[in-house]
Amino acid sequence: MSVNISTTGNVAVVTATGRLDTSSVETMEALVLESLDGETPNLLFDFGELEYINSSGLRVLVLAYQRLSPKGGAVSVCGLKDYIREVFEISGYDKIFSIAPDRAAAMAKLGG
Amino acid sequence: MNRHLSLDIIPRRGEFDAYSSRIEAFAFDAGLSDAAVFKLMLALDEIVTNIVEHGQPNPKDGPISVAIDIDWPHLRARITDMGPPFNPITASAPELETPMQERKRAVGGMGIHLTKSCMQGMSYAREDGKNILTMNKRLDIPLDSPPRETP
Repeated sequence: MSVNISTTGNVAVVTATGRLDTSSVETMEALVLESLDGETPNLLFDFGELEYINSSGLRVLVLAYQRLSPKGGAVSVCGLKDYIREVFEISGYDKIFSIAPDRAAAMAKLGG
Repeated sequence: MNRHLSLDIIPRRGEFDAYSSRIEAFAFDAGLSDAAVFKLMLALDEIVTNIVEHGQPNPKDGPISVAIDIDWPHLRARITDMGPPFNPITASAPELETPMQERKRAVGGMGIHLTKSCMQGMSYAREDGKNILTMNKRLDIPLDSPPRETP
């Protein structure tokens, strides 16, 4: 698993690749928490190269949502493989996070 | 052809991750699709994690045993632990209808909810001081395809 974060305009983009499992989720959580302490109002998770996520990974997205939405920020997710998108649908999170096919579409929606 | 995989996992947080590549290789070899492999992995991961975090078996009492049997098109996974009586199926349901900002537990119960969606049947038994959770699934044809028999 690799995870990095970059900022484009008013959007912080978290790119996670490979397997986001219980062992690796802490790395992503630390980066996300650091970003939440900053001024960037929107967060985009680019999961185009993500192969696996479990409920501990989803928890980080929910945490970001709970922190950003009261301030008018948004959490977006893009590039989901079909079977990972299904997890978002089953959990109902597809209604909370804006889901875009790719990074360009997500950035256009977020106005980054 | 029946295929079987047995794993003994130390009941410790994150320990399951060390076995993911073996489970994945086994499931692909058995002919499961990407989506079916993912669902099997997610179901096992969530149950094992739930047992470790909420059932809290003592590692000294023994491992969490995972046994997977594939007898096409039937898949069965059995997870056994020696911890105190704990039925993950009846662990509380997620607050799907509660607005996200008001949810008390964020994703509490979500792991079991996802597991139920990944599998078709789940049952729990307490036998001889062990918790035994059995999950069943019928594999899809033609999305999954049975492995070719080597002559």
